[in-house]
Amino acid sequence: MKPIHDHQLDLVELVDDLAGSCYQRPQQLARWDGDLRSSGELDRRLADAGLFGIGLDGEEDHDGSLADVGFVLSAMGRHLAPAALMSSTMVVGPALMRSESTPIQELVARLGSGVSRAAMVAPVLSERPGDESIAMVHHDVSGAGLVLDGEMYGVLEGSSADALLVYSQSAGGEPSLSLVESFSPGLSVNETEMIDRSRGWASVVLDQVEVSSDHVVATGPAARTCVLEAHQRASVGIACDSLGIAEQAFEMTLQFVKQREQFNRPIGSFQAVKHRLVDEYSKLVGARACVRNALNSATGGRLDPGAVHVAKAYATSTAVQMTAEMVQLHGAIGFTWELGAHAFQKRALMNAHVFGDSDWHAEQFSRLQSPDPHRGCASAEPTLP
Amino acid sequence: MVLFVLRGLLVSVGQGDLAEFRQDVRDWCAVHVNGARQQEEGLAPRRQRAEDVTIATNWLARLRAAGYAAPHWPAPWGPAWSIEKQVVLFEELAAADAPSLDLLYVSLHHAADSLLAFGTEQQQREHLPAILDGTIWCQGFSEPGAGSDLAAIRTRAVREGDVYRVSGQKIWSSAADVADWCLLLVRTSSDGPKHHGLSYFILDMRSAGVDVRPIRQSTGAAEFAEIFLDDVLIPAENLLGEEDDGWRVALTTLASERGTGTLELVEGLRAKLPQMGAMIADANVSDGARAAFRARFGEVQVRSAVLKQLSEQMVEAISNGDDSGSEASLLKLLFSELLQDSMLLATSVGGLDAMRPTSSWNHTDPLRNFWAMEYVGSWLWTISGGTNEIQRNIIAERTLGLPKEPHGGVRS
Repeated sequence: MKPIHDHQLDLVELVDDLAGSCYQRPQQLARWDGDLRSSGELDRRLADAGLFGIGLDGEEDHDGSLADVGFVLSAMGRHLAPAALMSSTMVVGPALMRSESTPIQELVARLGSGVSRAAMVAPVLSERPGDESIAMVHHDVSGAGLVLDGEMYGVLEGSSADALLVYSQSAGGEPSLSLVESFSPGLSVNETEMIDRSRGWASVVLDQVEVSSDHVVATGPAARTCVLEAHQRASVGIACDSLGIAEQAFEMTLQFVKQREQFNRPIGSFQAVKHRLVDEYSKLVGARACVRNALNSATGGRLDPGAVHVAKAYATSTAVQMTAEMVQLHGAIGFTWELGAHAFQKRALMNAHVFGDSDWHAEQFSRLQSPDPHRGCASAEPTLP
Repeated sequence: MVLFVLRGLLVSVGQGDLAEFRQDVRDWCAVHVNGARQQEEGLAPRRQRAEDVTIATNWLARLRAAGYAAPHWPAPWGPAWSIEKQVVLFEELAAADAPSLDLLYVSLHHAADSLLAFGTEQQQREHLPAILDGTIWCQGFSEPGAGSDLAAIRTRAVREGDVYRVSGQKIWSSAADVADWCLLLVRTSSDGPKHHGLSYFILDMRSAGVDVRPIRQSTGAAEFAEIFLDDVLIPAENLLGEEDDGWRVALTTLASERGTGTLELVEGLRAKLPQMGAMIADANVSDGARAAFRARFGEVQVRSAVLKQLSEQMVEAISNGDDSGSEASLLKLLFSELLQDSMLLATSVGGLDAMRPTSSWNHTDPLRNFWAMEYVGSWLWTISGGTNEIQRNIIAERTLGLPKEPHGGVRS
């Protein structure tokens, strides 16, 4: 396994410092209530520190950058930070880099400096990514561009985005990937309430939205490949986030059971509690290993699909289980709003369902491992649109 | 042989009566649940606590008028129905999605059972009919330093003539913010083992020196509270049981908690299952994923069928005094973990749809439930009333006769 580089640890420390200085208790509690306004501050500081630009600034080592972003995202998960960086830098930005269109290149530069934000609107957002029925539809306009229609909810950080990367299909099933700017006529984006209120979730409606040809990112098989790769980056990004959640939940719980006394002894000295912590620890080290493996699997900007599926399935399940144990082992305190275990638990649940749920990723991994003889050889690619 | 025939005959007659009773309840629900619902629908989705109180007490009044309130209470206070008949009532109420009596749970179960077992005639006469009138009770047991280790409580009561002067702090008290009365466990003596020297009081929540501060829980609602007691005076006649013998009363309260009440809870959970089945049938998933959901759902259904049988048998045993002392713990364990697993399954099946609220995500419309939030909220059941870890210790020590952990067991 590749070692963790010093600069990656520095990145984690930087995010810890920035988040620590932005999220004092009152703001934290306010954010759990769905008040996302205080979130702008951390994003600004992350942008000032150059973190939105990792991998988008034209430097050569894209694969190394991808792993670096992963460390940043994991640290952000620990702090229940908003996900504009995941959305812009990990998911959408790299999908735009091969385009030679001037407006698209300009957007990449703005994303890298943190001035603009982007979000992805594609059926891969759902828990079952192959579900074509929720893809946007488009029709071509005399070779000059597209007109988009459709709607979707659960778009990560959609309402703060200046541009949306939209995957669509024509009536004939021809895919396209295009960029829709937030001011486009016919586009409406609204913040929607999901169980996780630490990040923004939007519903997006496209009603006869026109896209000019210089905003079309890719068409045909290239569009499909591009969205597939974006989906894999998103899956790893979410896995990193869940790893951060699990780490934080584990540490808080470990501290608590060492310090909380009942029957004149720390509750962590009871075997019933001790063993449960060990069970969670064993999952946590597994999650660390598979997330690192997925982050380091990139070659030529492309992640290894098997490694991605394992990381997404395992790390998100681990976070769901760890946060459940966090609530239970804190006793009634764990069930309070004030402790915030619920905020970790809710974000962990959401992570387990966006960009393919754990079952879906496990099933895809299983297919890669043992191809179904009745279906010919296994595709190296998951069944994405 | 004669006995056998006779027994069979009795059962069939009984079942005929029950079928008729079931139809009566169903007809009654068809009229009254709707009326109650309309009253409820008029309220804001995120309503005030006072409105919750109105809904619960109005519903209890409707049940009472029909003779359906407190069916487990013995004569002369209640109808003392058979377990079978209670189960039919709870099945029908759950299927009709009747309003919840959660706010009155402590009144109808904890308070009533404790008063019935230890109350003086005067106390019973004062409080039991009032409970049916809708007085709300809360439970002042846990303290910040005494949760799992309940006997470690430090709230003190000192006798001064005809009154006790009480100071201390209670926590995790459901419905304390709207309660009229509190079942209060305090320390009256520090001599001897910690289980001794506790006393059990009936506290008027309007007494001077009682300060209630609601605690917000993970679902966002504030259904429980802290109670601060600062030189509160409680008349000596409000002692329930003997001074320094409060632990024995508290054990009754704790056992009643998951006794007859479990029947109602189990039916509430079972009523959600058909909807989960429909969600699996309609889920937009691969055949393989659907089959996997169905297998998990089958397991949930089997467990709920087992729990139904077990709870009916065990509640029967408890009410006959024919129990081993940890049935209530076992039912609590099985119910709460089944609830949690069921809600996690519903969340998995619902996917992103399960992650968002609908306009009224509370129980008013089960078809539009906010499953992920119900899952998050299910920890109420694995934590409150003694965590499941504590329940396991109780079962291990009381029923299995396993040695206590070093430094003291639980609730011996």
